Amino acid sequence: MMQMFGFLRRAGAAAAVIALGTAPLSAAPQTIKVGAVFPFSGPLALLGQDSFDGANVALEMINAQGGVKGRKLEWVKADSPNAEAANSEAERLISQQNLKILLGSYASPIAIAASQVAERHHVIYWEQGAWTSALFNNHPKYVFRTNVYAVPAGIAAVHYAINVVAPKIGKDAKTLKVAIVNEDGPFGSSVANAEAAEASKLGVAVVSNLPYTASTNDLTSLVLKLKAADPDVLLATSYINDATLLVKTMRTQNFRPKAIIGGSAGFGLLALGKNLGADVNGISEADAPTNINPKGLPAAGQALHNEFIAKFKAATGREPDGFSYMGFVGAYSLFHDVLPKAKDPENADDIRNAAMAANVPEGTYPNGWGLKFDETGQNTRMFAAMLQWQSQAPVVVGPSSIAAGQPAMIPLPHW
Amino acid sequence: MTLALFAQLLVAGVLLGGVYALISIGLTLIFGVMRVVNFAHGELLMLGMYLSYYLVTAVHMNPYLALVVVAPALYLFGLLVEVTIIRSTIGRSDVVQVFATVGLSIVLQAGALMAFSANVVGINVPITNALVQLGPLSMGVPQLLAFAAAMLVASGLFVFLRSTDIGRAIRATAQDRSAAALMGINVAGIYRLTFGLGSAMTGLAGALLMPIYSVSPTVGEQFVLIAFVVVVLGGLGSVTGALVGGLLIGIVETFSGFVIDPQWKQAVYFLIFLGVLVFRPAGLFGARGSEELSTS
Repeated sequence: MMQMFGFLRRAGAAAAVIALGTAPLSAAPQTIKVGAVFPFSGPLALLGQDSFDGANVALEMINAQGGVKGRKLEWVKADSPNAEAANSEAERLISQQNLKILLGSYASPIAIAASQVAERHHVIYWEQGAWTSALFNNHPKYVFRTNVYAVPAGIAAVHYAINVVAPKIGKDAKTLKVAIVNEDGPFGSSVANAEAAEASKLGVAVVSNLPYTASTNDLTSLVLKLKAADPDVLLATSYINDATLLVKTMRTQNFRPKAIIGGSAGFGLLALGKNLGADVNGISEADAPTNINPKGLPAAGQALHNEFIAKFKAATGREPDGFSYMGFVGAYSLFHDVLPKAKDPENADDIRNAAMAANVPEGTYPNGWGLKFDETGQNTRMFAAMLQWQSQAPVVVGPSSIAAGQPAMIPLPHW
Repeated sequence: MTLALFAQLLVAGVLLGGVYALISIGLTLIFGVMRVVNFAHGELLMLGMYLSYYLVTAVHMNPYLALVVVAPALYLFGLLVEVTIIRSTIGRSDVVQVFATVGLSIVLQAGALMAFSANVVGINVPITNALVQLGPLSMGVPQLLAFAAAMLVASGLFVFLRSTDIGRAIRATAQDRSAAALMGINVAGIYRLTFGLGSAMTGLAGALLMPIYSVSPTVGEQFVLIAFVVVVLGGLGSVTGALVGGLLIGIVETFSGFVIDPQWKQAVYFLIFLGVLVFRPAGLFGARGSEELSTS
């Protein structure tokens, strides 16, 4: 026993010597390195960059305020254009760079791949933008998501069809006919499944349910099938190319339902307005909140909202989109409301405990969200906003507390 | 299915087939003459689309007037690529060509990402939304024009290869490079011309697609697979094959999307593609293992 204490004493002394010896080299506290797993190249790069730019505003704000426990934050960027790259990049960040926190990714396949690697290594994976329902399928312990995802968005789209569209066209839940189309990847399927489930729960007739491949060059056959099914409302979840092609083909084939309700992605992008011109007006979509009416937020939320927008514009020269808001909220919630409360901000279990204890009311973050995780790791203080294209710009029309406009053009006028 | 619906599907399929034929002709020409499988084909299409996009949005040119700039520009770009990259791969093993053209495609994609950003952009001028209504049939004007262009390009190329001296020299080179050289044909010059022409046609296709689709640095991936399917189905090197193959796939895709399911339409034409390859490995119009440029 005494021998063991002696050993410990000597070991302690040796450790102290080593610590003293290296102390001058690390006089400034070490930075906390955070892996940024985003698609910076490839077909997903546009929104990956938008998301990261939002997250970067949060990092710079926190650093300007002195960092986390006096330690500056620093990104280690890992370009992950697809799931394979996300897998190897996450592995590299953890095994070689010894990072304890990864933040990503905006895209569902990337989020799934990177989060699985992080979980295996007991490293925190913090998702700020991916929509898949499958992120928590394996019940991970170290995976968290701050953003709205497919299920609440799909539900919001169906509720909008029932509560906003149906009364304006003289129908109700029992008489309304909806059609669901979606790109058949994990993103589109997640939203479409949520829509179909909510519609059947509320007794809404789904007259057509058509998945298609996003890389399609032609949607004429799909539009003709829709036209034959004659729905009142079209619920569509698409990326940008196929969303553009869908609406253009609907015009060519003279198919005009009384409302089109998109599920984020392609239907929320400013590029859709540019591609479609005036034809975009009247299209609604369930999406992450963007361009909300800040007066609906409490004073602190308004201040953060305005600061975020000013800093985002100064850094990038453009307006933030919904993905930039999600990127900011994801990173800010981690850096401001979780890491400072973790005993050791580079210990996954400490960070997890701090995350599970986080209790930030709705309306705190610039898009109206707050932070409170459920037992799976999903933030519950998030919601989908309903937006509608009016005068070729997306306008928040719901929920009413943060709405910047009223739903219009229901039913949609003829082409 | 009513007759009107059948006719509408047929028209849509034929028009889509015109687009497919259009994007495949340059690829089949280059393969037929040079035996180069150009994996950067989709990126040439992408460059044509971007050039057209900027001519329309920045210079406010009519998208169809932009053709007269895009096609020559891509011709020159094709010459440059041939002289700097393709030439040194001629006669080398297939692997060299594959690496060279795949490498080129990666460089062009990455270059486009830096130059144009990953933004998906499209043009929106009145003609992109114009429609022709024939009784119950409706057709987009850009689709009709792309179809007409495919017919014109294919028949123009056909006549050019058949009845001009240069055309005959191209066919002679395609049939036997060594014999052509012995007959006094400047084979290197013919290759340069062919790659330039193939690139110009692909650029032309890009400019004609711009009023229909949106462009981003990776747009080539969306089309290049179908172009390869069309070219192999029609017969590598056969211009007629590209035309027929394009139309066939367009029609099959449209009908199977309606009758079976939009999700399965790609699977259906790949099945047909496999079937053709099993029974006619040279493709529908390919002759003797695609060993010559068929104009029949």
